[in-house]
Amino acid sequence: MTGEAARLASILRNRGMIKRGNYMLHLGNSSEYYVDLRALPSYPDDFDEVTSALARLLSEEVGGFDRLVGIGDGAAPLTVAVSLKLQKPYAIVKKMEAENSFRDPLLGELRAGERAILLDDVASTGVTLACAASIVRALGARVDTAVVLVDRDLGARELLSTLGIRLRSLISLSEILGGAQRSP
Amino acid sequence: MCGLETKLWAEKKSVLSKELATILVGLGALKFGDFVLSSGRRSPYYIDLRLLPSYPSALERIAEMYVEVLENEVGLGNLKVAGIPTAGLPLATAVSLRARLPLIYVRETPKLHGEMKMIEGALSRGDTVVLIDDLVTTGGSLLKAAEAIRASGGRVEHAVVLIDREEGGSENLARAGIRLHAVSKISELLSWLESAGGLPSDKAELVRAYLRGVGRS
Repeated sequence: MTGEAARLASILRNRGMIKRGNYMLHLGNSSEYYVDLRALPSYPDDFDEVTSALARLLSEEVGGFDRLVGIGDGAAPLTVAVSLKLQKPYAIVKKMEAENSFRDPLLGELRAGERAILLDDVASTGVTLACAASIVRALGARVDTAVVLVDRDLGARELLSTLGIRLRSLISLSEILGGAQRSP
Repeated sequence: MCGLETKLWAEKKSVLSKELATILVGLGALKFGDFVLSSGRRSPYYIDLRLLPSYPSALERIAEMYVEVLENEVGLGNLKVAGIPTAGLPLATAVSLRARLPLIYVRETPKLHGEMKMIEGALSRGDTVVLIDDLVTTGGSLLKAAEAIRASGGRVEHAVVLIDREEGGSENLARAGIRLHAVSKISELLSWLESAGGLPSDKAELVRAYLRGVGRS
């Protein structure tokens, strides 16, 4: 694990964002661990450090792109922070949830043919990211990369790769828990 | 605050209004015509901030304007900012980054999986929270957010918006013990646009008549 990943792991652990217990996840799955990063923007210094790491990953490893697309309100703070750091346009795509209306799936705009990078806090099964990718593509933008803070290693990487999307993460749950090495 | 400071801030604010009018025109955010608002009410003007996310430098400048209002009308000490989704959350984020203040937000619907809650972020009993949204019309969504934050133990005494549509929001919030602060008001933006030749006076007059009608109803 890199020094940066170790530092991120300690921030997330110290702020109580990795919870142990029996939690119901989306789609009726349950898990022993619950990763909740929604409180991260409540700690300005930590939030700055984490979003700076995201901005670095995007500018050094993802190549030229036109727009960041955050998934739902949960990803809005991350997306806005990185947008301001890199001075790149952003949009927020609504999450696929039964209670949302889809009259307007987007906050902001997308332009035809532009390269959009999906951004979310956590990747689990990848279903949420895959839904968002199909909305963004239907609106005319290109999607080949998704970036998350934490990859839970629950299949998102594989699902997204079948859609031609490469998943990048700052850290995996197993790294945070002090387990196996991050997969490349 | 002594008289001179008040006067200087009033002058500064009118400069901010003018700058905001210029930014909004650049974003195509001020539209005049015949619109149906989400409430179902018809309006002779519409504020559309849909292009703001495409211009990070404009978002940054607008966040600075909110921070100036916070500094001069609320005070930045020991404060958390609360974003009102959907449109208020990105603005609250930019404000929190600019002023290095903790951010929380109010969920539109309670979380159904994981832990059930209405507030996201670190909120403790007694925390002072300022509400951030883009626009205020009657204040309904700000009041709903204040209720949720108060139910979780937060103290809410101020709300800051970019534009006050002057349709009773300030009065409705005041009744709930919340002071409304706005970078600008629709009537001020109208005056700037009109004097800069960006809006024919007959259209401006239509909006003024609409605002007077709102006041009477």
